[in-house]
Amino acid sequence: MNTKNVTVVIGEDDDGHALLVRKNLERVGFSGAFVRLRDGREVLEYFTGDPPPAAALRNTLLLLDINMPQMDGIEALRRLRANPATARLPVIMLTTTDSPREVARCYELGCNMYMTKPVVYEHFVDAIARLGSFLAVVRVPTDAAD
Amino acid sequence: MLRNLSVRRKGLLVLALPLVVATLVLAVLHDIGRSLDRSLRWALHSQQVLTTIEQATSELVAIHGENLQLALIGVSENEFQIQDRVDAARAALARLAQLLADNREQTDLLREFAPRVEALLTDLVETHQVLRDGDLKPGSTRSAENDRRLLDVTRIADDLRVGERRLQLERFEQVARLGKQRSIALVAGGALFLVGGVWLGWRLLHSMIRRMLVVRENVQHLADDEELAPPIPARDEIGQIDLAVHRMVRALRSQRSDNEMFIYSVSHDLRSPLVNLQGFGKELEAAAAELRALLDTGDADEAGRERVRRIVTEEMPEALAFIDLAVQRQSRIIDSLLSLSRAGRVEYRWDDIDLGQCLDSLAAQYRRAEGGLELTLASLPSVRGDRDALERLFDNLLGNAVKYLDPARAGRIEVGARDEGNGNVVVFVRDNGVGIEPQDLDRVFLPFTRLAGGEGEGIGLSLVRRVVDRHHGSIWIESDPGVGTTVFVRLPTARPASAR
Repeated sequence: MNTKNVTVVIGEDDDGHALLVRKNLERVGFSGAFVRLRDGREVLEYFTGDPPPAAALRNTLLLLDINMPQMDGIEALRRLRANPATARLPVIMLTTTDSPREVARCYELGCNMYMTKPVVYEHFVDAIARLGSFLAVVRVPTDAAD
Repeated sequence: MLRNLSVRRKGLLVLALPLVVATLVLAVLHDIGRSLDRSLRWALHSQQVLTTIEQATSELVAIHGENLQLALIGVSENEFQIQDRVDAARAALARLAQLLADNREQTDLLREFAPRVEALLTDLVETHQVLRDGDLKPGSTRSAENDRRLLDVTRIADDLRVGERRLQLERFEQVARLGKQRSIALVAGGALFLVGGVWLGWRLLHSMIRRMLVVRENVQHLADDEELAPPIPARDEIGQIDLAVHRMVRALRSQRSDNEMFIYSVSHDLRSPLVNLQGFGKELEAAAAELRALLDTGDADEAGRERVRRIVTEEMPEALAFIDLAVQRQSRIIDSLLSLSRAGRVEYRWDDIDLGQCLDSLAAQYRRAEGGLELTLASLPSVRGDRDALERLFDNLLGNAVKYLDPARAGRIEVGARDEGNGNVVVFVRDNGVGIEPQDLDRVFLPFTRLAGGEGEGIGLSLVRRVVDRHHGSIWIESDPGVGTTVFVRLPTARPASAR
């Protein structure tokens, strides 16, 4: 799959974690763009504020850490899903703990995947490949909306 | 109604009610016994009356019989002492008068009887004297006259006897009736005492045992961590124990959920640096592998040398810096955990602490450290507590207030107090900082909770809460996002000088 046109947006407060995700994705052959955001508010602003969200949404994959200050990943996910413009954005939740309650809550709110840190990047690539077909699907309505 | 009585009162009731019944029964029995005694005494009295009448008349008959014997055969027994007989008859009369004094009917009869007896006695004595002296001619009418009068006297005596017998009969009937009443009272009272006492005792005991079993079950449920039966609807000691068990379970569950939250955040916070340690460790590994590969190629070209330079001067130091940060972070977390556990463990030295004095030096430190900070202390009371712990508490509160000041305006922090008058004082620390969002207010006391912009391990307020708990106080926060935050701490006031 060609990932050149894909943008990975990562909402993560820990600099080390964000850097590791980026390095490892690049190591396994990801060649798209990265956007680093530090908390839930920045994530929401990125997708719903200026510039117009449609551009931000095209070929975009969101990696969301759950534990963040200001607004945590779960709240950000809930608000993204509540907004029709961002309701179908592919979202992978990242967390250090795999409490079953939290996993259930994330899937309930409509995340596409849930991954526990430290991430096994081989799985991660598979996941992105699977989401790739999903990206292809969501691109159509996004383009139509342009 | 019964079940809301305290166990002590129930016990008293079980003791007292049968005692009251027994006392009533005894009183009734005593009353009947007294009536019975009286009736018996009166029956005996009647018997005495009858005997005395008999005595009186028999003396008359005896004297008359002696006279007749003298008159007929002229012989008298030498031993016959007429005066003794007369005295006995008179004594009997006197006793009769006494015995019948309270009975009008019989007294009337006695008034008829006594003079006649007296007159007859006089005549009989006279006749006896005449006969003794041998002056009386045979066939004299004196004997016949005495016969008639004696008959007359015995007829009245008979009337007296009949009256007294009737009375005696009535009295015996009374005795029989009272005896029967006594038996009934004894049996009925005894039955009431036994059945009532046993019934009441059993009922109270049964209800107490039943509820105690519920409490025992609840304690067992508590031990087994199961759902409790609903609180038992009684306000006595057992009900209070049950309520206490329910309260304990609520407190334990809330504490456990706090603990779970705590463990969750600690494990999250401990794992976060671990991810960096592991990830950047692997980065170093990858860098080493790449360097090895570049070395293996022998003479490296320009691009290869550039790559080695990049790895050694940029990528490896970067990875090492993140590893160092992660180690520092882990170490800080562990220090925080230790200080948190120490806050609950260290022994307090209880004393009266002058908060004004305690906070003056703290405030001075903060004023020195933060230029332009307006920190005002109102007059502060003395409280009962541990100096070190209280200093740590207010150091944390002031530190938080300073840390979350709004950079957009001049910082203002105010410390004040109000006496609640019930042995407690509420101290407040008010700032004009960024404030706390309502959804964050309930988790600020959890360890490892940092709010926006916060640094450190997020342990401060959970330390503060431990200190407050150990002072048997309470703490709460009011906050208006964008306006400021006020933290209230309720502490016990110092003991008055007179109590020392």
